[in-house]
Amino acid sequence: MLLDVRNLSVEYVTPKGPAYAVNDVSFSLKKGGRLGLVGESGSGKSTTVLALMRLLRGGRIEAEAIDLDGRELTGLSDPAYRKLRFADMAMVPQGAMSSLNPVLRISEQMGDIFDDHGVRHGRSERRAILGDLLERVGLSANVQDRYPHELSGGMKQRVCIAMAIALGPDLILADEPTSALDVMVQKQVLATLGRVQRELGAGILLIGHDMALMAHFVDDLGVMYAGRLVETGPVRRLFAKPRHPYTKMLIDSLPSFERRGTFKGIPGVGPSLLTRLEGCPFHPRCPMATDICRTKRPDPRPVDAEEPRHLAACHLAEEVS
Amino acid sequence: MRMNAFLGWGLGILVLLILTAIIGPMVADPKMAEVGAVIPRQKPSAEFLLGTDGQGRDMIAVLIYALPQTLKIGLLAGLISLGVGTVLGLVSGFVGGWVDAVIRTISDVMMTIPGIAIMVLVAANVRVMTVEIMAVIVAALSWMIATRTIRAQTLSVRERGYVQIARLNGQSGLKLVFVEVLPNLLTFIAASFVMTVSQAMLATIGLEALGLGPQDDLTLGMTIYWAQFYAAIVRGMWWWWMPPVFIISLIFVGLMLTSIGLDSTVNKRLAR
Amino acid sequence: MTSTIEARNVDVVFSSGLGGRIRKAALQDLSLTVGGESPSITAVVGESGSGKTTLTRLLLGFQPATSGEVMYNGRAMSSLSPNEVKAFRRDVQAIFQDPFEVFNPFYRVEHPLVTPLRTFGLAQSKAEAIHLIEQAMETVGLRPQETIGKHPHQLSGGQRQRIMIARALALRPSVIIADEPVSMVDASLRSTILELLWKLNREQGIALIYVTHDLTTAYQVAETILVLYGGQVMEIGSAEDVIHRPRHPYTRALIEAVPSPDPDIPWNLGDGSDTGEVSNMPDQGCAFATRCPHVMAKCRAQRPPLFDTDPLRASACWMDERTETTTAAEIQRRAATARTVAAE
Repeated sequence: MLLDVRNLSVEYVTPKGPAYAVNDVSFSLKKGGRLGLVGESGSGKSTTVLALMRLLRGGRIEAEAIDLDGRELTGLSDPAYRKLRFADMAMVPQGAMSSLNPVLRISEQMGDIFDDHGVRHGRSERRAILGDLLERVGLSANVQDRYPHELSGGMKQRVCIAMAIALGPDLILADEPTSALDVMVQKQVLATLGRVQRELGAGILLIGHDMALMAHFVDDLGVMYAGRLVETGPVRRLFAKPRHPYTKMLIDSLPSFERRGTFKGIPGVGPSLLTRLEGCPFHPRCPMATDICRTKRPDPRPVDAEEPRHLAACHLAEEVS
Repeated sequence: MRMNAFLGWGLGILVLLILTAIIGPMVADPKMAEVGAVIPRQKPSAEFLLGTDGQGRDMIAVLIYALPQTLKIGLLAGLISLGVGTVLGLVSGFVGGWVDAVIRTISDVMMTIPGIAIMVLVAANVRVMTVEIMAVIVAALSWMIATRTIRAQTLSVRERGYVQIARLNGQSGLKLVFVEVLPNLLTFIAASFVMTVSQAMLATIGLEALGLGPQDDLTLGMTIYWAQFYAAIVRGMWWWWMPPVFIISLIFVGLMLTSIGLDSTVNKRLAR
Repeated sequence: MTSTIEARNVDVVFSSGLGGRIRKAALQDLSLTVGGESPSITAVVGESGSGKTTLTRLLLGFQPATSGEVMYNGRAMSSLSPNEVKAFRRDVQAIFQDPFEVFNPFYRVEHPLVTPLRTFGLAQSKAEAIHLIEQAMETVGLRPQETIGKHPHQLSGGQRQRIMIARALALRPSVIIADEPVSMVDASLRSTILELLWKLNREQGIALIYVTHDLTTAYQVAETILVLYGGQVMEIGSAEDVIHRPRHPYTRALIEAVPSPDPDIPWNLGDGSDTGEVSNMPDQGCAFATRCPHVMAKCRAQRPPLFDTDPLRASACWMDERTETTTAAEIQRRAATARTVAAE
């Protein structure tokens, strides 16, 4: 296993009391594998990634274990974590557009990554290395001489991918890397991300809200709701036989070129993170909910005889169809 | 909205100073602040807690009567330049076009003029300098700050969805500005008021320390000027120059904390 | 047949630089009708920079046409009297993309509903306005007692977007321009919001322009789809024609970029080496020429008109060259007639 996360929780302190952003989330990712996490706003998917990177502002992280390629990360000191970032795991951030410093040339920002990790190069060697990185993400080598504002959104996102792969990490965490881009550019950038990840042999954890995009990119998919992982498994199994009503309803609600004038939304709104709901967090919106759903919280359990890795946190998983 | 610590301390200090400026003169004897009221150059003692100055004034009384004058200059200058700035900024940002171009050009040109030079010039040529004239001069040279801030904010608010909705709702002109735009600028207006007041006071004290202040009025800046004029430092009369410096510093710390506090509440609102 | 709004050969050009020497065409030769006897849903599909925002502003009367004319009930917008402008303001409503910033943080959520009801004289008193608001809120699936009196930040994005729909509805408009109404709403609520818009059209007879970057939801709700790129109409036609039998290379590229929600239907992601991005639109010729895989010399020299290729569709591509040309408005009219015939 490349990444093994056991019972990760993140709690924020707010003026109105603690907010439970992520609750007991467990998942694993094998070497070179692709795992997707989908969920709506407030589902905790971005918080999960930021917690793994230890880049959360103010949140309290608790985890039984976070194992990266045989190394336990939970007790690691902050300086050690700083060395880990980019070298072992790198992140393509959500607002890649705004995460580039507008007053520095691309070469300086990319160069900082090497400098921070004590990698020294001669002037021309550094140029060649940066040029090569940029070419790998489909940009020309001289993009390094430009400033961020001279680049389009897609190009900036590619620069961020180049920065993420600069030190050849084993794990890439991509937080909605394409959601701010135009449809066609989105496809190209996602393809680029997929290609460099394969070339590098790195594992990738992709965060997103677009189920259809995920369906075609990842091997395994996790569906998050109210800070909990409600269903995980191989993406095709999940789409073919969703075992959590929320997953099923999400898939059904996807628009396609097959249907016109039919709408299948999910009624109701997500729960507040400020209260820990009794029972299953989805029960107020679930059409199948029974008494047990309102009183006892379901834990993730195997729900597929043919696929032991397919887990769902639903009392009535077997009845979902 | 939770009051943050900066804002709390800043406002606390300012309120305390203002209360002193109001209540002080009711209690203290104005005669004690007149030249020759007491024996000059006395060290602090039980009778004169902060001693007496070189011209025979009780320092406590001097400070009590100087504080309101100094605050008055700051507030007056702040109010005038904020009033002018808010109106010009709103008009400039909301109306746009050539009106905006004219206002912007004038304020940009004014920004490039070195204020202190103008002030020295005016102050040196006014026959009798008073606290009010002082305030007007300072205001005339600082309204651009508020104009710029309010203009920039108006420009950003103008493009907000709710202004578009208000247009769809059939609102236009002044009503739209007052109902939809202005309320959202209140925090910015407050923040730039604090900024302008501190700038005005800084400029005033600078002028006064140069001896270009109101010679007949008692202000903190003039007190420092006289202390310096009579070489208080060299003569070791720390009780003459240190207390006014301390109170001025206190005013600035109060203003600065308030400004930082307002800034972070404004930014919090923006982030939401 | 009269339409509520009709754009006739509209160009919108933005000038900048010294003396306005830098000119950028945001919309070119656009003709479009909205509303009328057979109110329908027309989707305007485009990416950023396609001119869809300019189109929205044009139809709402926020953006004047550089040349051509926008008509309201058969009269040129530029010649409307103040009273007619007021009538237009009520009659043509909008729903915007961002359900957060359309609420003034200073006021409670009913503020943008009470104001227009009073301004347009639809309610004589505040109590009457609140009553109308309650009705509209119920229509869009909100519980008025849990909504009225709240501050905007106390409600979710989906609830706020519903309030905006309730607002548009309460003014009893003939036309609603919905500018990306679901792109900032959570996936589970998108369908619900789109269904609401669809019902407004079917049950209340309100004509809709649905502006979006998303072809799938366009197909889901609209009868007619107009594809916009670089300020030019690339293709317009019935949703079936445009999605299932696309002609224009840009439309085809857009459709290919959309993954199917079924993981078993292959989606050729490629390796991302085709960066095909241009920040500058060409000054002349077809806007898509710089990215088109089939580009010919002619495409760069001369902008193709909308060729009348099919009964319910037109394509602006030299590969579809025909002797007859047409306009988007004409295709919309034909589609409306076809619907009326089908209904009878």
